[in-house]
Amino acid sequence: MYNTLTKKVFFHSAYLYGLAIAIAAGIFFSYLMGEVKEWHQLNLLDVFSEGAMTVLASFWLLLVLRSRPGGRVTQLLAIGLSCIIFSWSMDLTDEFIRLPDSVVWHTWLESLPIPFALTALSIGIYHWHKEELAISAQMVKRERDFREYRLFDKLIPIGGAVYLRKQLGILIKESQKNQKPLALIAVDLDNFNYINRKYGIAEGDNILRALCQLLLLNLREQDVLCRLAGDRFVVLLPDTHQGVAESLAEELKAAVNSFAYKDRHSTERVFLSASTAVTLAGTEDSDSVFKRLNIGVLVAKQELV
Amino acid sequence: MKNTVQKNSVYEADTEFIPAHYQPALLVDLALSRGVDSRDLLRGVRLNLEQIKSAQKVISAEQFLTLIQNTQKLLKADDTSFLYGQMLLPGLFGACSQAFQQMSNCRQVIDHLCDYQAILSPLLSSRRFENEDYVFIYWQDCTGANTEQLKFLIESQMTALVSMSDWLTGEKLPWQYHFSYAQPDYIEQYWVNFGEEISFNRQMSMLLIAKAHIERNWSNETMVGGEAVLNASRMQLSQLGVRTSFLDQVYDYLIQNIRQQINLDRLSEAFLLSPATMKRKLKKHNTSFQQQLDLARRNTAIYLFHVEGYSYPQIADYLQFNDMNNFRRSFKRWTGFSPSTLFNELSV
Repeated sequence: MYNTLTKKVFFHSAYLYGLAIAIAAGIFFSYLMGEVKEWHQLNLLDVFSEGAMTVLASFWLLLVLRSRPGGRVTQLLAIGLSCIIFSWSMDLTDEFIRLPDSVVWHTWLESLPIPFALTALSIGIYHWHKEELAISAQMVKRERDFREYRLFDKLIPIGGAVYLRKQLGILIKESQKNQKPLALIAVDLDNFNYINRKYGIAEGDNILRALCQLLLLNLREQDVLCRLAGDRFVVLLPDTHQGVAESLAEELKAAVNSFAYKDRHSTERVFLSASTAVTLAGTEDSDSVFKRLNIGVLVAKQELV
Repeated sequence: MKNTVQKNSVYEADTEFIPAHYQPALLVDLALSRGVDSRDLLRGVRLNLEQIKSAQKVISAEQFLTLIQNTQKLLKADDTSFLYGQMLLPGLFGACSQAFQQMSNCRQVIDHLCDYQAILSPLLSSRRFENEDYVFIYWQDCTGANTEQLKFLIESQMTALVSMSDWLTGEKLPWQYHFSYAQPDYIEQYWVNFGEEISFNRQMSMLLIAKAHIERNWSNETMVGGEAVLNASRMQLSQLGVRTSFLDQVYDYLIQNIRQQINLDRLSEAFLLSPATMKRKLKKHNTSFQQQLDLARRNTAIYLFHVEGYSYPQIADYLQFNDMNNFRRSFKRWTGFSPSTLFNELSV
């Protein structure tokens, strides 16, 4: 994780170097042509506001470069922001260096980049919007109605327990309003403890990640998969009756049973099986729904022995 | 009443005796496997990866607690303590770990865990008492952990014992879980790792199990091998050089003399220390004389209630309280609950 991040910063740093050289050149030529103002000649309010604008715009650029992979959208956003930073920093230079009226090129440096910047940003944001739609399509079955990256599971790219709780609260209200049943399935791996013991936690994490993909493949468009904790996953099934949920749970169980995951070191198959529990959410709060679901899992595990 | 206390083989927060390749290495491995940078992880621990790998380095409880704090800060995952707990036992801690595989019932497991606490759980002392039906296992800070670290340690030790008993017995025993703190935000970790028999805001954090379950043998005892590995464990403990923690020693002294008028001076005298030194030592372990005395009295009250079946006035009498109101107030201070809650929990 750490390595990919440094690589990305390196990959993008061309923009930062280019921008720094352009700004340095602008300041250098202004210094050659003009005269530096005395302290009492400075308009502090202007210095402060224009300085703040430049700093903030630089912050936006850094965020964009750090968070996004390369590609057209990133290029457009970076070019647009770089032009804005350049223009604003030339504006700021004005506050410190007085240029004779005969120097016209400096006004150009201040004003010309702005139309470029706005055009590049507009096209960039338009494509960003398209990109978000494409990514959202891939997030089907992992989220519904709202996205909150802070609630994503730390390990697996699906919602964690807090996201699950919020989502359940929303869906319970929705199901009451529309008079449609809301079902939940819990999927819990059998003896995952032993797998962690035998293959190590890193391998256990890999199994959970693979399993998450497997479960997603077996779900319908409207279902949402979240990870409650450890090896227990919960599926929210809007507009679903008990019977349908039960047969879906059987399918998930069968999918886990026939999943032939291979251990990284021995390349042997790790045999997996899961217990499932199904419940319908009534008018109660989310905690009592989870309680019923958890007891269902315990009962299913007892039948196992 | 014992007059003085043996000072040999006692460890304090800064005594270096925990092999870095034992429990600390498990935690380091867990953090590294989840993408934590090793330099950040070991910052302030005065330890590096090469030293852990050398299997020669011993660290102090303070260093280990710093490692736990770094892990909690950097990993920010709710399941760290539980995953760490799953790996803790039997562990790879020499003969003491091997001994678990020679055992034939859970009682032996619990006894071994308590007897070899300095090796198996150096930061948290494991203790137990029992009545006719139940065994009560509880854990106490013995090296000055703060609240967050203590929660981490208790979660991981409970997970460790239960996960090992699942593994050895091949079945889920009906453990009951009591926690002295309020229900945490990440309650789902407790559901998945511990099940449904969990309750919060209890007088103390402990595990309860019906005796019938822990006395059932899952295998026949191996006479020679079992004896040999226990002897090896004994040797391992004597080679470790320490046996019990300073805080445990203070606690034991207070428990033994709980019916006397104990004060800081008497305690210091028994430990052959000046009161000022005693005070400083307790402070070093993040506690005070009053806190330790309250802890000893609280645990005595709970013990008398569960084991001796004492009534509420009998307990007050035993602990030298003449005034019931005074006892009620004190009990509330020790546990955060009035004594009546203890008596309402007749069904354990």
